[in-house]
This record gives sequence, C-alpha cells and structure tokens, in this order.
Amino acid sequence: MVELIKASKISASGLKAQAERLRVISENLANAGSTAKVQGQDPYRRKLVTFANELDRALGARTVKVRQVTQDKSEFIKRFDPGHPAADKDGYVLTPNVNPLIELADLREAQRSYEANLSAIEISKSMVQRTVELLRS
Amino acid sequence: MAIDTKIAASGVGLTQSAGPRKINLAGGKGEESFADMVASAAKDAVATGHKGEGTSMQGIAKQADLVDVVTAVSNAELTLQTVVTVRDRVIQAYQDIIRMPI
Repeated sequence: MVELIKASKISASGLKAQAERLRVISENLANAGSTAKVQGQDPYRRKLVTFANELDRALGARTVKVRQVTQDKSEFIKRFDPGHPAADKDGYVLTPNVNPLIELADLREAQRSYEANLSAIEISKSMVQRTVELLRS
Repeated sequence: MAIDTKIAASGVGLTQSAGPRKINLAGGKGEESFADMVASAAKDAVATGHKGEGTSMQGIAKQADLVDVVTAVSNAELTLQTVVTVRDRVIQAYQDIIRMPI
C-alpha cells in the first residue's frame, strides 16, 4: 500500500517536471518571431530544459526535477528584410534560433511523457482500490 | 470538511466497537494491541485527511500546484476508503458475535 502511494508521488514529480518543460516549449514557440528592437541586439534565444534525478529522503526514492533551463547556443537564423528596424546595413535581420517543427516534436514528447506519468498514477491508485475491495463483499 | 467528519466518525466507530470487544473477550493482550493498531490507523487517516484539505485550500488560493492538490486529495481518498472498509469489516464481525445464539 505504502509503496503504491509512493509510486504515485514519484509520478507526480514527473508530471511537474513535464509541465515545466511544456512551459519552456510554449515560450519558445510563442517567441519564434521575436526579433531584436534595434540592430546589434540579439533576438529571442531558444531555451532548453534538462532534467535531474533527486533523492527524496521522505519517500526513499529518486524523483525527477528540472535541473536548469539553459539557452540554446546555436546560431541565429538570418533573414533578408531591409525594412525591419533591426536590419543591418546589408538588410539582414537576425531571427530566433527556434525551429517550430523541433518545438512541436518536443511538445509531443512532453505530452507523451505526461500521459505516461498520469497512467502510472491511475494504475497505482486503482491497485490500492482493488486491494481494499478484497475486504468488502 | 466532509472527509474530516467521516474519518472522525469512523474513528469513533472503531473505538466503540473495540471497547466492548475487550470486555467480552476477557481483555486478551492481542485484542488490546489490535485496538491500538486500529486507533493509530485512524489517527494516520485523520492526518492524511487534514493534509489533503490543507493542500486543497492552498490550491483554491492559488498557492499550491494542481498536481500537489490532486495527489494529496487522492491519498486522503484512498486512506478514507481503507479506514471505512476496515471499520465496516470490524463492525460486521462484532455484529456477528452479538447475534450468535448462546
């Protein structure tokens, strides 16, 4: 019984971590077109999430958490747009290093992982309930 | 609130049913420790219920994460189900003894 309740708590930490990941992905997607205000400044830089396991002493198990939100160091994408306020002397504008396709794939992965954790919680809960059911009848 | 009163009621039910058992069955030590076990289980259940309620309140006030609220409430629910089932079982056994033709 205690183990099953612990299992649902570990899965809950997974839910939280994936929720934070979703937040960062939506930040990237929403800012996919955020350029700099004037020439010379950087546009929005893509953010990345890394996870870490953490020993929860009360639970006696390793839960997951977001280690840190880092920045993607890759090059910005150059686009020809001479009328843009942030365009350089050749007419090129730096746009964020966000690829919406990659973000959508990450989004889907976060969704699947969240669903997996949800299923684990559901299963451990129903196992506790079924064990209790044995006493009835 | 409802969880609290239900658990409290189940706790009372347990101690009441456990009390006469001791007298009827000449107060064996095993009976006493069983009553203690049931009482401590009821206390744990009340504590879990309180935790669930507290987290729900924080959730309503937007201070707690929804995931925390869900886990605390479902924990409280599971503990309540366990306590209620065990209590029903104990009471049923007690009633069976009472109805026994002497």
